Amino acid sequence: MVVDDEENVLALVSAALEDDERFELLLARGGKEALELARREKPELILLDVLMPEIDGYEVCRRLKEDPETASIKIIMLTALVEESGEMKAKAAGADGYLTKPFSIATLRNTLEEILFGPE
Amino acid sequence: MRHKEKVRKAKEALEKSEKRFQDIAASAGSWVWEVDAEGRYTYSSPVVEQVLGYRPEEVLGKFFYDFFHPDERKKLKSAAFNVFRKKEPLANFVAPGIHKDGHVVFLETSGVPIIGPEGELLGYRGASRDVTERVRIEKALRESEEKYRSLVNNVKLGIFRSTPGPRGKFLEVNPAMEEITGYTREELLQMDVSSLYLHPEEREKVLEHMAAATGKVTKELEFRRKDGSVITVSDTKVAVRDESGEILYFDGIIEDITERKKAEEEREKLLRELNRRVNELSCLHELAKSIRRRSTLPEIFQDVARLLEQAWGHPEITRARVIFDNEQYTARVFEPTRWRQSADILIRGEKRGEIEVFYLAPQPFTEEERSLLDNIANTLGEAIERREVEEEKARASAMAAALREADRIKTNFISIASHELRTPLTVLLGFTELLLRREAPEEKRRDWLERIHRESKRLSAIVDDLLNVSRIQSGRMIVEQQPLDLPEIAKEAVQSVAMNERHSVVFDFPEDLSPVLGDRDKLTQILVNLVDNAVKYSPQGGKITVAARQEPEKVIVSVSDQGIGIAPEDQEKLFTTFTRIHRPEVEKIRGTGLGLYIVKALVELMGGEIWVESELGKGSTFFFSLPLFKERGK
Repeated sequence: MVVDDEENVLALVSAALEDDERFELLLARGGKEALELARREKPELILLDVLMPEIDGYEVCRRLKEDPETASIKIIMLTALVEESGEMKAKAAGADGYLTKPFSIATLRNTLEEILFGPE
Repeated sequence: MRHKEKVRKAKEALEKSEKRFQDIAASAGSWVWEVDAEGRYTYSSPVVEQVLGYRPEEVLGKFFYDFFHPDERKKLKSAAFNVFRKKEPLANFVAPGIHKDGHVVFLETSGVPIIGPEGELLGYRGASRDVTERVRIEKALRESEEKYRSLVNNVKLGIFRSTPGPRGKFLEVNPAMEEITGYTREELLQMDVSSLYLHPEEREKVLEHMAAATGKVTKELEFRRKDGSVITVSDTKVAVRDESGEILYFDGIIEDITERKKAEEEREKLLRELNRRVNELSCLHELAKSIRRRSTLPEIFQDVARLLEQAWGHPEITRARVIFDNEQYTARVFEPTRWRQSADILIRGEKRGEIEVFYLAPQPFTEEERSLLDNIANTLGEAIERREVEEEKARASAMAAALREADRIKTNFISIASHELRTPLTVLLGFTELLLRREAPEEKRRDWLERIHRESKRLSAIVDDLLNVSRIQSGRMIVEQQPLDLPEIAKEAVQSVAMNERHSVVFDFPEDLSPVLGDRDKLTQILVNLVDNAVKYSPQGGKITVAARQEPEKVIVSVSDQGIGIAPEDQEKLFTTFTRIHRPEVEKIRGTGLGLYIVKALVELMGGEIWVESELGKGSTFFFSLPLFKERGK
């Protein structure tokens, strides 16, 4: 599942991964939508943008991890933030990994593989 | 007479005499007894039972000293045997004995020795009487006499009789008078009564008083004793007159009340002290109340001045003043006098003022007032110090909060700027990567290229905004000063703003609008920004009005929309960097949060002001002013 308030980013990730059979994509356009969709569909992994209106990404991550229904979902945070605490914050919220924008498609794929399928 | 007859008669006589003896013994009330030379009872009359509780048989054969009180036994025994040895008679010997049931019985004993044919002591014969009652009464009398004597002696009640007149003398004095005055009886009878007085003139007054009085009169006088010491006495006397009413003499008593007076004075002093403490406490209590209740120092100082005027010994002539940090505070206007008392107000060791109390008329200040004044100055000093410390703390904490906020905004700025830049970059980077890497159907490629194009433009706009903000903040923004045709620029600006058919733009300019002074590019930017906002924040569509009106020194331009409006509490934050309003309808709309910040900076750089009027749900109108272009010479 990909969560970002930027439609372009959603489009980008879709386009980048649609040819890969390993991945089935779900898109959510905000924190609220993300939480609902996650609980319903229980994706294996969520790409979660940090800076979103209404609920920020960290909060969404925390909530997902606290809810036993969704706690097992792997979460990768997408952050454009400059501060060093970005990594700490992601860890503190319970995320399993993070990517900084802008990221290359290759990096995206590698990270996804690592988190979903383990180091090979 | 025949022998039998003689014997019979002798026996009869003996019996009679015996009986007579018994009767006497029985009726004498005394216990008659006989003891042998060792002191053993050989005979005891029945009265012994009344006296000691024993029957005669129980007594016979026992030693007389066995019936003495154990505490006295040894003493009495030796005294008795002394008498035995001397073979003397015993007369009225009183000693304590023990009754059979244990209580003490006092016995008065008399006895005579029984001497044998060779002059040897055969024993004693005598009588003892129970004198317990008598002994008891004598003892009580003695004790009461003692008590009375000591009472009379210790109360030091002097009793006297004296003659009237300036050279009156003592006719009679009791021993206590000697003790009280220190003079002997002889001396007292010789001297003039008035020479006892510390102030002899007082006796005249006393005599006058006595002449007029009918009953007894009590006065407190001061006497000087023989040794020179001064005592206070209470003198109560009554005049004894003859038939014609002339005073014959005085009968009176004198009591030394020096101790009592001292105790009274002590009590007075304690009462005064108590009063002072109460006064002081109530004063300090009032002060504390004032400190708690009043919000400013001047108010507290006035309260203090008023307090002092009322608390001092003579309120009608008391005035008070507080000086603090070179300012004066009074409860009312007055002229300072030289009868002045003051205490310093010290804050953290530094003298910052004074509390002054003035008397309008000469009056001495008391020790209590001095100490109260110091106390008040201390309390006041402490209270002020506390306040100042609290104020400092509050200021420091406010400053810290402001710094934290500024820091947050800065961090926020960087975070958001970073995000705003990197998000379009992600799109650009990502899609170009896709385009390069693989083949994709035409529509997809087209879609991707359009996205790239849009995001590039967006990125460009954001970069422009950020550069503007940077220039504004570092003061490097250059603003030209030219005459500008507002309507023309407005129309041009509107054209570059994208909008759809839901929106319509209306211009409202007066015909004879004067040119304004400013920078063409900047004014265009302002209008573009405001109109763009108007479009963005009225997603339902509506009318957008760009208007201007002329005022004496300036032109007021307005841009209104019929969109979502801005709540009053959010209006304050509008013109700050990156602050976007946290309402869902606002956040849905794309914006950097920089636009209005830049607009405000530009308006102010051109010498104008910007403000907003808005109502949630109805729409908003942004106003800004620009100075009129004034031709040189006008």
